[in-house]
Amino acid sequence: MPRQEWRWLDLGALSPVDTQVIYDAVSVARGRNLVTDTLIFCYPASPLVCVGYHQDVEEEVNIDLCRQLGIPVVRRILGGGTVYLDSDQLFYQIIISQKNPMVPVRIKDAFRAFLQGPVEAYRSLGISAEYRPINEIQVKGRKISGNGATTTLDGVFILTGNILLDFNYNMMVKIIRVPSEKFRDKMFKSLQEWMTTVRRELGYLVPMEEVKKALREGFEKALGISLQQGDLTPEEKRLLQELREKYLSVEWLYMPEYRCLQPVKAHAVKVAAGISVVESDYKSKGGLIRVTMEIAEAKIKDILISGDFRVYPSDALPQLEQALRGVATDRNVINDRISRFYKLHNMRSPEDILKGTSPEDILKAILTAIKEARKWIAPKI
Amino acid sequence: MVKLFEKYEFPEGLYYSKDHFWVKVEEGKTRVGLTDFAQQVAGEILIVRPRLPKSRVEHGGPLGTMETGKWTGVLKSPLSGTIIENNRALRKASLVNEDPYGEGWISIIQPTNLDEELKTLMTEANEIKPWLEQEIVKIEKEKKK
Repeated sequence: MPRQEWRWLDLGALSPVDTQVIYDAVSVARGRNLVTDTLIFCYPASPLVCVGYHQDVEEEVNIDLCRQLGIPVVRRILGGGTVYLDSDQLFYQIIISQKNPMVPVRIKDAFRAFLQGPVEAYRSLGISAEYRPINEIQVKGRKISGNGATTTLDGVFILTGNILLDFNYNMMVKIIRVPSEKFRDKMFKSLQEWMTTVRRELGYLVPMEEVKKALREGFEKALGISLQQGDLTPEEKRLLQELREKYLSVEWLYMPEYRCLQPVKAHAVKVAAGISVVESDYKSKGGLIRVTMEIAEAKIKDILISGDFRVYPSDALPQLEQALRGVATDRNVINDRISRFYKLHNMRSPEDILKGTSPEDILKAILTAIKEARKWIAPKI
Repeated sequence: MVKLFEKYEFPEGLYYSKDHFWVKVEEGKTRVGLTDFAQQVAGEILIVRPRLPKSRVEHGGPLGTMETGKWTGVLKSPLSGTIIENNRALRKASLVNEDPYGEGWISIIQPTNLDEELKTLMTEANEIKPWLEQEIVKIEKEKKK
């Protein structure tokens, strides 16, 4: 295939909302064949909270806190979850016609192909990044880039992602609505463990211009394209202004017409590929059992069992939690581990150790949490 | 039931669009959903959100949106008309993966140009097969890269 020439828009710092409007506007222009295939680099001049297209913003975001802190909340046209973004991330946004032979039919093939660009960029900065299906870039199992894609009605494929120069883990867990402080803590710890940044990997913050250079060269090398620097056309500027009005509207942000139709979501958050934090409640005869769990690669990485049920002896529950860490998220395996826990403690009757709450109740509470994670994150968790 | 290439089900008696929708005519109304081929290519479907009842749709225009794990896209309506009803059971969107022609139906449309637009859809295996073959070839070519 001859070397393709794409337009490269190095837009620098944009207003928070414009970082999400820009690729929408350029994709409209591309769909009308007014511009060529384009790669955009930009970053927000100030922080924003960005929600996925199908999310219920009032369910997902602590809007009051965002208002107090002056952080705008913006809904994007791509799916996925809520994320805190600031000027420590460099966004790359690919806007390409579906007719371009470089665009595969299957989304997973598209991610595999296009994410070689940022992988190459990370490697040239000295970070041993790897592509992990379906849409992640990782460094030794830790996520260092999140990516999403969409295809417009006009047949334009959009793929966006970010280079994480640094990340504000504290703000990320503050701006999200969580069911409990335990969940927030678990999510914070999970993010710290499973998400990394350029700063964490190299021990210093690489200047933005150096990252841009690496990324531009990474895309050119990995995709075999030539990037020609260009500018927004007058029509694109007009589209940007027009679409900005939509993005700033209450109707777009809240989508009230869909609120009552949203499935009621349990509290499950994907932290990185294969890693999620979930919390659910199970009502047993002995009382409410709350399970807050971190699942990593289909195993219970960490678990907290709490609630208003009685436990005797009082240190039985932490011991049980410890016994469950590392166990596969499989009913039979979990059941076996709970049963062995009782046998190990040589109890006369299964109910002795956890009076009023049977081992079956504990099992059901854990399975409820796993079921919710599978429903909202991925079936194979 | 016709299974093409030993993998993709295309029940008889339905019409099929090249945008991966099936259409069932039911006493002047039409029930629509995604084909088995579409749900297999899409992978795990997390959200299906058709436009609200009473919305006017156009043949090839937006019927709604869908989200898989990593991609969000527009569902293209196979017909023009008005959405009368959407499948509330799709709060569990995986129904589209599990039972695309049964419990995973998406919307019921009151069509405005049914006879003409049905002519643009495929219905016989000998129409569907060559089109599907082209779609599969595209996918297989990418697998080899």
